[in-house]
Amino acid sequence: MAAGDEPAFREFYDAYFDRLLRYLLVVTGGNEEAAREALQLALVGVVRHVKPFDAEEKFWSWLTVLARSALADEGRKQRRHFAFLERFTRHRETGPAASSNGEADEQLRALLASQLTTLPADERQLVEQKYLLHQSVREIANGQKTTEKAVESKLSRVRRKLKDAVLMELKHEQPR
Amino acid sequence: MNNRADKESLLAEVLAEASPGDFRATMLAEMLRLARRRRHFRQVRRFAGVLFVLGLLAVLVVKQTPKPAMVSAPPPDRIVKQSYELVLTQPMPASALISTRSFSGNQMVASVGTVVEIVTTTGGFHLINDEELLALLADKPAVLIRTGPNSEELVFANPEDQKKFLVY
Repeated sequence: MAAGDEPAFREFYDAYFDRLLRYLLVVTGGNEEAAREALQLALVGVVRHVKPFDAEEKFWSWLTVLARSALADEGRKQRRHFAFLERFTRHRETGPAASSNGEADEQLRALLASQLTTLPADERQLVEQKYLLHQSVREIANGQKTTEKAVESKLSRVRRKLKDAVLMELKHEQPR
Repeated sequence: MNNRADKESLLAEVLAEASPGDFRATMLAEMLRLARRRRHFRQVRRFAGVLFVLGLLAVLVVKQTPKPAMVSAPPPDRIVKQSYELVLTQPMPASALISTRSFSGNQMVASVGTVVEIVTTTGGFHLINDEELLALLADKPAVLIRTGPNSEELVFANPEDQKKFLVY
């Protein structure tokens, strides 16, 4: 990447895009828009300042610093997000590396598992069929005597519901 | 749902839900564009650096090479007028030289012995009066005309006679 190798950037992107986004979602307290903006700035920073690291942990730590800096820059630009910025600042003060080592993923997974339990039985069953039993949409549709399109539509609604619930939980959580 | 991979798959799809469809692809394209531009900029900068070093070397080589001595005419306004005129001389050929030498004794001519010396003496003549003058004329008709208290003019009747009395 430091040499400008394009396949290296693709590999980096596949490995770290989702991870960085999740990290920023947690840091921003579920502010998806701010997380996306900061992610974009952070990726630009990666292109400009990437350098060799001797360990993956150090690289990830550097990425999180970039991401938080990008978030701070974005926060300064958008004064209307003052409350968020204050929260973010508190977050940095309490522990800038609190979510550095995979803790953001763990937090999200825990929130997701928690929200799964709050789903109605039919929705939770649908999710388990798809993601635990790895049934295809056709198999689920045949089992429920319905169409694939209806199953897809219901799955989409459940995922959206879960996402909103997780992001809402992040907003209400105390900064870590 | 205890399997970590299953949770990971569900989490990824949940978080991707309702996101802009092309967000991920757009971000990747933007990142690759920046990377390409940065790589291009680095190449240009490296090439410019090489050119600069080469140019510097060329300048150093040119400065180190001794220049041939050049004689240039002074500018016209700096010509100084000399207060003297330079004249070049050269020795004359022997044939153009004239030399003198003393004559031998027999070649010398003395002119002193041939000179005739004339000596004049005072006296032997006297003033004549008007009658004596007219007597000298004898048969030649002439008239003496008094022109002033101490001046007279002798006029011959025949001009041819006057020529016979002219003394040079």
